[in-house]
Amino acid sequence: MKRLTSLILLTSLVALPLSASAEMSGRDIMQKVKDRNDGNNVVMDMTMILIDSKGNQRERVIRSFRRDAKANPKDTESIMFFLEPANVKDTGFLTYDFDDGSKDDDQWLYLPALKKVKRIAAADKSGSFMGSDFTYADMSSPDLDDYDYTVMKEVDIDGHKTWQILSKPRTEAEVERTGYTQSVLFVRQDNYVVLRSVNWVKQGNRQKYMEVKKLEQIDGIWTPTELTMTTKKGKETEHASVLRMKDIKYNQPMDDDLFSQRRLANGL
Amino acid sequence: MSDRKISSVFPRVRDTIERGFARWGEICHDHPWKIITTVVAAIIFFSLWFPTMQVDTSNESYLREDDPAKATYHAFQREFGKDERIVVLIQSDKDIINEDFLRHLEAMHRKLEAIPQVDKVDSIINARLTLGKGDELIVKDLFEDWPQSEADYQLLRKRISDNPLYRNHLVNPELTSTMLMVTPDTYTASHSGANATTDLEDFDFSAGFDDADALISGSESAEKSAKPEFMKDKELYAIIDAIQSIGKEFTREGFKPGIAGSPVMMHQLTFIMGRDMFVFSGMGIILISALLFLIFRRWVMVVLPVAVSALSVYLTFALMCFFGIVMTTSVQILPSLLLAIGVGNSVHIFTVYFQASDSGKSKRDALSYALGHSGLAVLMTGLTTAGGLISFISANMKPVADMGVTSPMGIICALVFSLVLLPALIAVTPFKNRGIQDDSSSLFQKFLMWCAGASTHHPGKVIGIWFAVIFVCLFQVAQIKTSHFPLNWFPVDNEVRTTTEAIDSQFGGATFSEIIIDTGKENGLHDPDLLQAVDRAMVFVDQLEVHGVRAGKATSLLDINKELHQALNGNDPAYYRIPDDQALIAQELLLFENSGSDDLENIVDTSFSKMRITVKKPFVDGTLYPDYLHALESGFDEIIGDRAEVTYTGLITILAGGVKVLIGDTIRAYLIAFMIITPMMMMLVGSVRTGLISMIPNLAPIIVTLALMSLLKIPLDAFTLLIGCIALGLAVDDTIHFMHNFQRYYARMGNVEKAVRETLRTTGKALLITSLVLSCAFFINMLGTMYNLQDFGLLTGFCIIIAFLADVTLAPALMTLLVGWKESQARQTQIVEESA
Repeated sequence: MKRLTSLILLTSLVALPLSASAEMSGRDIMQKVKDRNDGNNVVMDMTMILIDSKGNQRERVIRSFRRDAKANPKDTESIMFFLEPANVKDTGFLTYDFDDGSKDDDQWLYLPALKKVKRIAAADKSGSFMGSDFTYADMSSPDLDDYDYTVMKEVDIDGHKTWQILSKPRTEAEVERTGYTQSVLFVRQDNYVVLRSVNWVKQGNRQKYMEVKKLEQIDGIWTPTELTMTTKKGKETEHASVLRMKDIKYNQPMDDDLFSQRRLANGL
Repeated sequence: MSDRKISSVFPRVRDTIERGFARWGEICHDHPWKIITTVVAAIIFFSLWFPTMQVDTSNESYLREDDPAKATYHAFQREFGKDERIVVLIQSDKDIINEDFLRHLEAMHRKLEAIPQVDKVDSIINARLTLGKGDELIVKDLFEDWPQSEADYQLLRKRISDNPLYRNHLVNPELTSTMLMVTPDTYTASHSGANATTDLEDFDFSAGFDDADALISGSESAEKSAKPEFMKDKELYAIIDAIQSIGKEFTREGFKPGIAGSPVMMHQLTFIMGRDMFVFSGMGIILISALLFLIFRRWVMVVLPVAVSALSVYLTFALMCFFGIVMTTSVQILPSLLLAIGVGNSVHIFTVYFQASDSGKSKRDALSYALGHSGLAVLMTGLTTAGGLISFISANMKPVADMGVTSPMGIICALVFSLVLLPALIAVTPFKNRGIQDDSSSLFQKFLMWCAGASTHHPGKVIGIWFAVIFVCLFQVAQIKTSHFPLNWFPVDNEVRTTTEAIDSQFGGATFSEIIIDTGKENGLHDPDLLQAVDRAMVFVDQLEVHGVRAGKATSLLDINKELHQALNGNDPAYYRIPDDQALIAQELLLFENSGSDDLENIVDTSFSKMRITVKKPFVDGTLYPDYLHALESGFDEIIGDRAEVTYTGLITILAGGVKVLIGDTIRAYLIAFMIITPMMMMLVGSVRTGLISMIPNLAPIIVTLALMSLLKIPLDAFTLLIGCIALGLAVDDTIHFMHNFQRYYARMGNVEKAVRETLRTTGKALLITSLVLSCAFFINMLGTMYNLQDFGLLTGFCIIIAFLADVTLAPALMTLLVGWKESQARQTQIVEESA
C-alpha cells in the first residue's frame, strides 16, 4: 500500500508539467503567438548579413516601415528602402501581405536606375527575402487554418521553458506556397515568442534552422533584435543569414501616403 | 665486358641457377606440406585485409590524387555542386505540347525529384519564365499556371519555340522531344543527410543553430574541417537505376524515355564490362580446362594450372587491399593477364614434368628435372614482364600508373605460385604413371618438327618471309588511327548510345563542362564591361568549331541578366542584352533575388564575385578534344583579358583533355618497357647481340597485331592499349622460353638443328598448348556485348598465335643464322690464328 501511494505520488509529479501543457493545444499556443502584441506599426533599420559556406559575408542595410493595414488590420503593409550597398541604394519594396492565405500578396519594386515601379507577381512565399536565407513566408505570420499543430514536448532553451510544436501544412498547396513540408517550432512559454524553428524544405532534402539570438522588450513589446537562418543539407551548412534590427520604434505616427507606389518611387 | 666474355661466364651462372632450381624441386617434393601450409597461411593473412577493399571506378579515378586539375574540380563542386548530370530524353512521334503529354511529363518530373540523393531536376516543367506584362514582372516556373484552353497551348507553344532558354536546350526545335536534367547531390548520403532518419523523435534538435555563428567566426566544426566525402559511385549508380526504373514505368505510346550523360555512360560501361569480363573470364576458364583435359587427359592438368591462376588473382587483390591500393578500372585487365601467365607457367612446368615422369623418372626426379629445366625460364619470364610493366608507374593518368603497380604485383604472385605452390601440390597429388610414351607421331609434334626443319634448313627464307610481313605490316601500322570514343564501344542499338546520339544531334550534347569567371571582388559580376566581355566570349564558344567538335547551349548568369532586362523593358527583344549601367545590373539582380526564383544559387557565389558557365557538349572523340579545348581556352582568355580569372573545369573537360595524355602515356610506357626488357633479355641469353636479335620475335607479334588493328579499322584507344600489356607479357614469355631452352640444348648438344628440335619437342609443345588454349580463351570474348571487348578477344587471341608462330619459326631461324655466322667467324679466327 505504501508502495502504491509512492507510485501514485511519483506519477502525478511526473504528469504535472504534461497536464499543464495539455491545457493548451498546439493550435491554442500558435494563436497566442499570432495574437502577441507586435505594435500597430514599427520602424527599424535592418542589417542583413549573407554568409556563404566559406564564411564570406555580404551586408545589406534596409530601413523598414510596417503597419497593420488600414483596410484590414489583420493584413500587413510594409515598405523597405535599401540604404547599403551603394549600387542598390534607394531601391524600394512595397508589400501588402494578406492574412488570408488564399490571397496572393501584392509586391511592388522600385529600381532607381530604371526609374520605374514594377509590380512583382508573387504567387508563393517560398522565395528568398532580399536574397537571404529567410523567405517571405518566414517574415509573415501564417494562416493558422492551413496547419495542424501538435505539441511534442516541453524543452528548456537557454533557461527558458518552451513548447516544442510540430507544424504540418494541411494541403499540398500550402507546401508549395511556403516551400516547407513541416516545421518544428520552439515557443517560449512566458511570452509566446518563437525562439527557434527547424523547417524542412521541400526542394533537395534541406533543413533551415531559425533562431532568435537576441530578444529585447521594446516599448513593452517582445522584439527579436537578432535572428539567424541557416540552410543545411545534412551536415553541410550551405549558407546562412543574420538579421540585426536596431533603432526600433513602435507605434510611431505614420503618414498614410508612406505605403504607396508614389512614395516608393520618391524614396526616403 | 665483351660479348664473348659474357658468353663464357653465362653458361656457368645459368647451370648454377638451374641446379638450384633442380634442388628446389627436390625440396618441394620432400617438404610439400610445409610449403603448402606456409602459402595457405600467407593467403589467409592477406585475406584479412579484404574488408578494407577500396573500389573507385568513377570518372574521377582517372586522375592522380596530386593532379592540380582534381583540386580545382573539387573546389568547383564545393562551391557550385555537382557538374555531372543524368539526362533523360523523352521522345515522341508527335507534338509534345498537349495536356496529356505534359501531365505525364510533370508526373515523371516529380517522381525523379523524389529519388533520394537527387538535388534537383530541370525540365520545361520548372523552367524559368521571365516576362513583363504591362507594369508587372513575372518570374515563375513555366508550368506554375497550367494552360486552360487550346489558345493557351498555342501561346505556350510559341513561348517555348521563341525562348532560347528552352529551344535546343530543353526541347528540340520540332517540339517532338524534351529533356530532363537530373543533378545528383554533391556529397555522400551520410553527409548530405539523404539517409537521415525521418522520425522526429530521433532528430537532433540541438544541432544546426550555432552553425551560422561558426561560419561568421570562421571556426569550422570538426565535421566540416574533415572535408566531406563526395557522392560515391554506388550512390550515383543507385540514382541511375532508379531513373531507369522510373523511365520504364512511364514508357507508353508517344512517350519514350531514354537516359544518357557521362555518369550513365560510366555506369553502363562499368556494368556491361564488369558483367562481360566476369562471364567471359568464367567461360574462358571452362574452355581452358576443357582443352587442357583434352590435350593431357589428366584432371590434375586442369585443376592445378587453373588453381594457380585463380589464386594469383585472389592474392593480388588481397595484396592491393593490404597495401591500401584503390581498385580502379585498370584492374579489369588483371584476371585475363594472370590467367594467361598462370596457365602458361603451369603448362611449361607440367609438360616437362610429364615428359620426365612418363619416361620413367620418379616423382622426385621428375620434379627436380622439370624445375631445373623450366624454373629459370619461368622466373625470367615473370621478372622480365613485371620489370617491363613497372615502367607504367611514371604515367600521368592514374589507371595507367596503377597498372605499373598492380600488374607486376600480380605477375610476381603468379610466379611465386608457379614455382613454389605448384611443385608442392604436384608432390602431394597422386598421379598414374603412364610409362614411356612416344608422342612424336602426334599432330602437335609433327607440326613442331616441321617448324624446326623449315627454320633450320631454310633460315634465310623463313626470316625473309617474316621480315617481308613485318615490313608490310609497318606500312599498315603507320596508318593506325588513335581515337578514344567509348560511345562506339556500345552496340549500335544500345539505349545509352542511341539516346546519346539523339541528344547530341537534337540538343547539342548530354555532357557538361564548366567555365568559372572569378573577378576576385565583391559584386564584381555587376560590372557591365566584364559581363559584356563574357557575353562576347560565350558567342565565341557558341561558334567555335575545331575538328568538327562544337559545343551545345551554354547557360550562365547572363541569361538572367538579359531576360530580366528584356522583361523590364516591355519584353522588347532589343533589350535582350546586358545593361550598360552597373547600378541597373545590381538592382535587376536584387529584384531577381526577390522574385521567388532560386536559380542564382548554383550559378554565382554569394558575394557575386564568381560565376559559372555551363557548356553542353556532345560526346566526341577524346583525341580531338584537346585541340578544341586549347582553341576555346585561348580564345576565351583573350576576350576576357585581365578583367577576371578564368578556370576551365568539369569532369568531362579534365578527362577528355587528358585522353591524348593517356594514350601518349601508354605508348611511352610500352617503349620504356621494351627498353627495360631488352637488357634483361641480353642478361638471360648472356649476349648483347643475341639479346638484341631475340627482341625481333618479341616485336613481330605486336607489329602484326597493330597492323591487323589498322586493317580492321580498330583504333588505338585507351582500352586497346591495355591489351598490349597482355600481348607484351605473352610474347616476351614465349621468346624467353624458347631462347632459354635453345641455349640450354645448344650448349649440351653443340648442334643448332638438334637444339632447335629438342627445344620445340619439349618447350615448343608447352608453347603450342598454352597458345592454343589461351587464344581460344581470349577469342571467346568475341561473343561479348561491347565492341571493345570483342576487339580485345580478337586481338589478344591473334597476338598469342602470332607470338607462338614467331617463336617456333622466326626465333629458330634467327638462331640458326646467328650460330652459323658465329661458327664461320670462329673458323676464320682459327684460320687467322693458325696461319699466324
